[in-house]
Amino acid sequence: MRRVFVVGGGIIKFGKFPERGIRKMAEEVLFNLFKDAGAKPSDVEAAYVGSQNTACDDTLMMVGQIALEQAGIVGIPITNCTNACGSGSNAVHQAWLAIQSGLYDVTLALGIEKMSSPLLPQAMMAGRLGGGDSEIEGVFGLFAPGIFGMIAKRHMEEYGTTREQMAKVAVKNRFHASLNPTAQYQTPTTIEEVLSSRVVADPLTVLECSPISDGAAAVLLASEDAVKRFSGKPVEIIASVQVSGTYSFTDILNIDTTRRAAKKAYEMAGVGPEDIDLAEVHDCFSIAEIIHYEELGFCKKGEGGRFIDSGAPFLGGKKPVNTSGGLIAKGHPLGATGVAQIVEILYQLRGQAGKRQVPNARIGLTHNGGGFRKADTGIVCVHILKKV
Amino acid sequence: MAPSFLVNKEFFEEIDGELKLVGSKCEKCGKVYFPRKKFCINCMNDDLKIVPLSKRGKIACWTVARQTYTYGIPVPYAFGYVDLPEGVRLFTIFTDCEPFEEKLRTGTEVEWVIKKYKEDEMGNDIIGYLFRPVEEKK
Repeated sequence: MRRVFVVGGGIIKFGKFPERGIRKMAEEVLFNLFKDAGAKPSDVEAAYVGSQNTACDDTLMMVGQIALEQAGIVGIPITNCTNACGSGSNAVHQAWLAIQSGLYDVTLALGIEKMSSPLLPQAMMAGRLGGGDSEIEGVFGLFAPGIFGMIAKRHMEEYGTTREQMAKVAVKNRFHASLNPTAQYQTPTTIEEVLSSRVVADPLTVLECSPISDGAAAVLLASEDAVKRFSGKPVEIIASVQVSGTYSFTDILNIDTTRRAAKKAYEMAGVGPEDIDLAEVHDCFSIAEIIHYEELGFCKKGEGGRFIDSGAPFLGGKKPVNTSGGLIAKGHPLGATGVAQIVEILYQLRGQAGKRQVPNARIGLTHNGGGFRKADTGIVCVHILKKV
Repeated sequence: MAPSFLVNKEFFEEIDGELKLVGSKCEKCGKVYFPRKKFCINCMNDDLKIVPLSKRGKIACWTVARQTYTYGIPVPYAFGYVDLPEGVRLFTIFTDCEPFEEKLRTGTEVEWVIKKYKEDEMGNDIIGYLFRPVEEKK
C-alpha cells in the first residue's frame, strides 16, 4: 500500500454569518491551509469538495469549482462529494484514494457549507430533507433530531441510560469548545441548563442538538515522495474507510455502519480501539456520541452512558473525545464537518492544539456519518491518523 | 372542501373498491417490498404482484416531535418505525394515540389507516398512511 500523509490543515471560525458566502469562506480557509502546509495553489493535482449544499437558499452548482477558483485552483480535476453530513469525510477518502491508487501525489480535500440565511427559516429548510429520504420518510415528518430521539428512547429503555449522561455530552463538548477559538459556541454550560432547555424531539433538548452553521475546513494530502516538498509537519493516514447502510431492519440501536467502518479501519491500521489516544466522533446529537463510543469499541455495547460518567472522554481523561467541541459546540456546517475533524486530529498529533492539547497524542481517529433512512445510516467514514 | 391528494401514489392501490396500503411481492421467493419495486433484487424477477400490506404490525421505535420541521404537520406528533410480519419496515406518523406515553411503547401493536395528515402550502389536504394503536379487547 502507498503511504498517504496530511501535510496541512486549515479551518475558519464556524458560526452563523449570513453575509459571508462560499467564496469568502473558501479564500479564507484555503489561505490558512496553504500557510499551514507551506504550499501554493499550483501544487494541487486533484481536489475533492464535500458539500451537502441543499440546506441553503442560494444553492450552487459546481460549488467546488467556484470555491477553489477563488484561491487559484483551476484546470485540475475537481470532484464534488455530496453525501449528507458525511460529505466532508467522503471528500477526504476520495483524496486519499487518489494518492493511494498511484494516480496523484498531492490532493486537496475541502469541506464547505453555507447554512445560515437571512431569508428562510432554517429548521424548515433542514426539515425538508427528512433524514435524507424526503420522498419516503421526510414527507411524513421525519427530521434529524427525531431520528436520534427514537434512538435515545430505545437506549434508555434497553440499557438504562439516563438523561444526565446524555446531557454530559453537551456539557463536555461545550467545555472543550471554550478552549477552541474556531468553535461556534464557546460558552460552557451545565447539566441543569441542558435539561431545562426547550425539547425538540423527546427526550432531546435544543442544547443536545448540533446547530445550524456556516463553515469550512481543508486538508492537503501528499504521497511519501511528495511530503518533502512542503514545510507542514506531516501526519500519516493509516486508515481511510467509507461504508454505506444495509437497511436490514435490525434494532435502531444497532449502528452497524459505524461498527463495520471501525472494524475495517482498525484492521487496515493494525491498531485496536485501545490504541486510540483521542477521537473526533460524530456527535450530531448527545445520544449519538454515547452510542458511537460503543460501536467504535471504546466501551462495551450499552455502556456508553457509564463511559462518559467515568470521565474518560473528557480532556484529561483516558480517551478524550471531541476536543474541538464536536458538532454540538464547534458547529456542524454539514460538508465541512468531516474535514474539520481531520484538521483537529492533525493539530493534536502535531502538538499545536493550544489550550485543548492532549499530551503525548500519538494516534487519533475520526468518525463522520450522514443521512438516515429505514432506521439505518447512509454513510459512515472512519479515518485513523498517526504521528510520524 | 379543500382538494385532497395522495402524498405518493405508489404507496396505495384501489383493491375491490377500497384504497389500500400496498407493496409488491415476488411470488418466486416470497419477498415483499415497500415501496413497490420494479424487480426482485434476490431473483431478478420483474413480474412482481401488487399486494396489500398486513393491516397490523409492531412499533420498532418511536418518539414525539415538539418542534415543527415539516410544513403543515401540527406539533406535537408521534412518529416512528413499524415492522410488519412480511418483513417490511415503514416510517409513519401515529394517530389516535394520546396520551403518547400511555398508548405507545416499543412493541405496541398498531394498524394502518389512510387519511389526511397534513396540509400543503396551497391549503390542499394531503392523504397518507398512519398507524394507530389496536384497541385491546377487554
